[in-house]
Amino acid sequence: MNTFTQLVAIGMISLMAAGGSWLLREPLLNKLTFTCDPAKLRDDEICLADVKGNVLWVDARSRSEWEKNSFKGSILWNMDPKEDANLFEAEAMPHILAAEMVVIYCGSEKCGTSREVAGRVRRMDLGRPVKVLHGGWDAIKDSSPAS
Amino acid sequence: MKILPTILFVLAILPVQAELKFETPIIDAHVSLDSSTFVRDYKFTNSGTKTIKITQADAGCSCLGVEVAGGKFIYAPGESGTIRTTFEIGNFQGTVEKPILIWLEGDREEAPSAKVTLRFHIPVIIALEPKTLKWEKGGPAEMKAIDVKMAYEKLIRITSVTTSTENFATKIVTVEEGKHYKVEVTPLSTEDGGLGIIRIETDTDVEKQRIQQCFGVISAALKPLP
Repeated sequence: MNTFTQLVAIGMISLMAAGGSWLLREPLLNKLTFTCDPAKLRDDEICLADVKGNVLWVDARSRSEWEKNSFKGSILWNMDPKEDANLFEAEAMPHILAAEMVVIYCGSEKCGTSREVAGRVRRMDLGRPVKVLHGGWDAIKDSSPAS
Repeated sequence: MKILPTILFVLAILPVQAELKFETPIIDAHVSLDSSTFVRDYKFTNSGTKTIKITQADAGCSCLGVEVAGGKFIYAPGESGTIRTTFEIGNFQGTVEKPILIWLEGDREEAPSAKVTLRFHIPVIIALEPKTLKWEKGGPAEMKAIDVKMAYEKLIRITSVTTSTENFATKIVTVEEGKHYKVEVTPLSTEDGGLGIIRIETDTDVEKQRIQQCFGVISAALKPLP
């Protein structure tokens, strides 16, 4: 095999490897975008598909986002400095008592506000499981209960 | 002549790296009580082998602004820059941790090239324990107490305690003046279920923490769910 043939062969192998890698990676990443794998959840997270029963939804996004489009029956509780933190807590209390579980969501998976709010709900110590929705609003925006 | 294709092959499979290297990827900061905002800078270097363009930097929270200092987004290999974060303290207390994600041109939305962390500690100068007092419906209407501890350079006194319902009687007990109190709460009756908000006002000059609140709950359904 001469040098030129070797070059062509190496080039073809490289192209095939790159193409194969791209084809494998593409659908995998697309799948990950909307898939919640319970095995990979953090301890305080829950998949949308696993949320069942009498649930209190807490929206940790901004007031404007909540007013524009939110989960039906959700209450607002965020960390916005313009909001009254004591009022959020007081208004949430009867709703938490009436629910079997509290699920908190914010804008997306990378948003950490829901975890802050979850900590505050847990400190109220009302005996209700408190979970953060994996994927946040991104996970539920296409679901029918949104209003 | 077999050395030539070998070299070309090695060059072909070497990835062209685009990498942001941060001097301090985790910043741990203490915030003073009189601050309403605070700013921290993350210095970085393009340690990769090609020019990069920063397309997005986001903390996923309206409380934390993230910007590339100087509005410069393109960095040649070896070039350095700064990402500036500005946090609005607002209602946060205690230890808070915020991840900041940085996307370079070509990154997928779900796979940013870099992540740094801002961890900060905001003093809690008045701590209540527990946050909720509980009585069982129809059970004994016994007194229960909220422990109120102050951790501040100045003394903090409780000036008043009010409740949202007349069913709760309250009494302030001084354990150590300006440092430690107990708020005793006694329901007049537990025959009916109910919820009361207990507001504890203090004389602290830290306005955000001046009014504290906790709860009194009379309920048959407060036992942990299975």
